[in-house]
Amino acid sequence: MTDFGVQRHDRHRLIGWFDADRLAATRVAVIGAGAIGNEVCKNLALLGTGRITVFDHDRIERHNLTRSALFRDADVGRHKADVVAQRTAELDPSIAVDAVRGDVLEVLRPSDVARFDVVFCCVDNFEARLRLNELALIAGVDLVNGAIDARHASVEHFPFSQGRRLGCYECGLPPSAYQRIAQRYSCGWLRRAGLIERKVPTTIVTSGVAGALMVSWGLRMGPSAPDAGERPASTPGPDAAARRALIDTVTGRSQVSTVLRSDACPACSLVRDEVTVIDWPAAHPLVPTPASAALRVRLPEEVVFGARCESCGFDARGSVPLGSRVRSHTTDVRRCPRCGEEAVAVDGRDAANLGELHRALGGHPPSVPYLWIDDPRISFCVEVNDV
Amino acid sequence: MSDAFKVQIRTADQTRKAQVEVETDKSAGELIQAAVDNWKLPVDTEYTLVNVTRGTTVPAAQRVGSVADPGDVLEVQPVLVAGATREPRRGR
Repeated sequence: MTDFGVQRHDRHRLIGWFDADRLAATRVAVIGAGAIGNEVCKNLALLGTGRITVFDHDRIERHNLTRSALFRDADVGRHKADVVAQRTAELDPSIAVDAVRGDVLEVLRPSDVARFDVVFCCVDNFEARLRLNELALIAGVDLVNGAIDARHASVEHFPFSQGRRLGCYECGLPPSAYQRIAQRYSCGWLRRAGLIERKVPTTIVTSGVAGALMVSWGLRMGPSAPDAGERPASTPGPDAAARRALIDTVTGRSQVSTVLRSDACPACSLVRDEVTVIDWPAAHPLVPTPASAALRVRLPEEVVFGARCESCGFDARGSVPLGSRVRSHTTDVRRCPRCGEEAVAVDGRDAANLGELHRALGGHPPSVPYLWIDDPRISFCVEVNDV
Repeated sequence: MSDAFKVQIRTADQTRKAQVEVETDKSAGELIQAAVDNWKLPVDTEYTLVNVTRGTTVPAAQRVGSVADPGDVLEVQPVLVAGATREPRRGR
């Protein structure tokens, strides 16, 4: 688009290393359209990133307005993903911006992630970060993770497109983070009914800093990426490393470190160098052969294998469907519809063998986007279609 | 008795610093927990350990002896999650 002969990115092109054509061909996913997601999308659009897909399942609340440059008063109540996509597209009508209203825990499969060059993780909880880390690791797609509080911004870059033997998000996660996740659930991984969230206060200052560095690292801005030696920024190399930055927005001090790979990391121990992704159409029951029945299946989270009242023996599968995600149910399902006692026990599992999975779910896939078949002889990621 | 060496440990905002002697077979996670306990750092935050001298983020399970040298500066940094850590209103 011209304006008196001036091209939109003419000033950018004066920067020797700015590759507008490469950016125009870049496809990114922005997961989370809150404070950081707003900043990331704004930066991506102004730089001319060719295709941006925004994911969020939430709606705009009034308190979001103080930290979200793309939201307006009149947007309160609208879906965040829709508004961010609309306003981002207005910043540069020549780029393509899509909105997906959905919970990444329910909708994203590795092949969905593989369609992008970079995934920007702008979510607000550990569970979604862990899932995105696993998805990006399986898909071999770069992941940029951003998080903030009132004072600090932290940014992590995991260039999985250059190999899976780097440190990942879970490699650097302390055990206490899993305890934090567990606090949201009962001992059976049912969501606790009546939760109140402890709100972490943040400002546009920290989200702005995080969003700027995330985009710089994610798009590999600069004459040569720090992990690429003297190569052009767009050229990956075998010496890539995962990086973490913590920036104190009050003092201006920042600390950049390499994220080391952990031998104890659950994600890295699951995903090997070569990953084969296969398809499981939901309409087709999976019937294991005698040989395959013993294959070990790992699910990304617990699903329901059974539900029964321990007081009266009532089979509660009507209210807690087989194969559904345990975490999609609240502790309210523990009250038995027949006897009224809080005694319904939900059998939730995130691992089984193929034969057990078939017996429990009748050959139909569980309500998760993918599962993992792992055996010393075979390692497949199985994607479930039409979840 | 395991080997020990001295390192400097500090918080990210550098308001707390100490020269400490650590046993080399202690894990990074144990070192973090000791800092949280001794300095009474907020317990509703997760932390990671960064070896500032080497420029590395240290996995919690790693032994200090394998990730640091005598005299290194180790920093206890918050692991931010942005927006929501959730607490139960009532236990069930």
